[in-house]
Amino acid sequence: MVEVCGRVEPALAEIYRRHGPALFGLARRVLCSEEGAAEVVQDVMVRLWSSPERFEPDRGTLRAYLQTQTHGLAVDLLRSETSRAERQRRWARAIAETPEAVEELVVQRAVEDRVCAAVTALTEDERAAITVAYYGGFTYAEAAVVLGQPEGTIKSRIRTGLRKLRATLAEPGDDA
Amino acid sequence: MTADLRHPPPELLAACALDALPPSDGADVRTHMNSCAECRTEIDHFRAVLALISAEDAPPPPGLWSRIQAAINA
Repeated sequence: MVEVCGRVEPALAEIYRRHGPALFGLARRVLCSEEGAAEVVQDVMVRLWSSPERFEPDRGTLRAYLQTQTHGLAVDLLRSETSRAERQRRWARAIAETPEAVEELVVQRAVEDRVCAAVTALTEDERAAITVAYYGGFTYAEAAVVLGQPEGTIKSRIRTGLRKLRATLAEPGDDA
Repeated sequence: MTADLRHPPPELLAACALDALPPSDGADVRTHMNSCAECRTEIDHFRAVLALISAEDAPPPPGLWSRIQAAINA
């Protein structure tokens, strides 16, 4: 990061090499579009280059920072391009066709045992609430409609699920 | 009223980490976060966890790095 602050292009290239696949995977998952995902990853990298001081190492890893940026931009793009009704219809259809997919989605990258264990310790309802909100780009109120549950229930499941994950996984290592 | 009493409900901090706040709640939470290290840390911890369980890696398109290079050198 020191090198990026000094505008050293190979340093940005190394960050892209290390984190690009995760960022692209996340953006593609949210947007269901290769082109949209590429646009988002490009934007994230250019922002890091332009404003590296926005990454505050004492607030978390570079990976977490970049993923937060990627998710936020992907959700903004999704919401601007696809109506809420269409997104809700799409997810409701997907859940109806393969209900188990909603619970499985979160664990796709959970290759480490401890991460896998943490995710499987969640209830199916908690996983579904997190998955639909996070990957569907929905607000908790919209996710409640998709899942046919009251808003308060979805908010509560999201929080309970994230707190359980945090308790199990504790502090992540610094991979910045 | 003390600063503590103005903390947003905990459920909203979790939803914020997922970018799942409706506009009606989002502005208030973001404003609060800017001045409250405690709530910012709570959200940062949730985001750190999300970074561990996020979507499957996927190789970016071959030309993407060239596009990024062009953009930063423009």
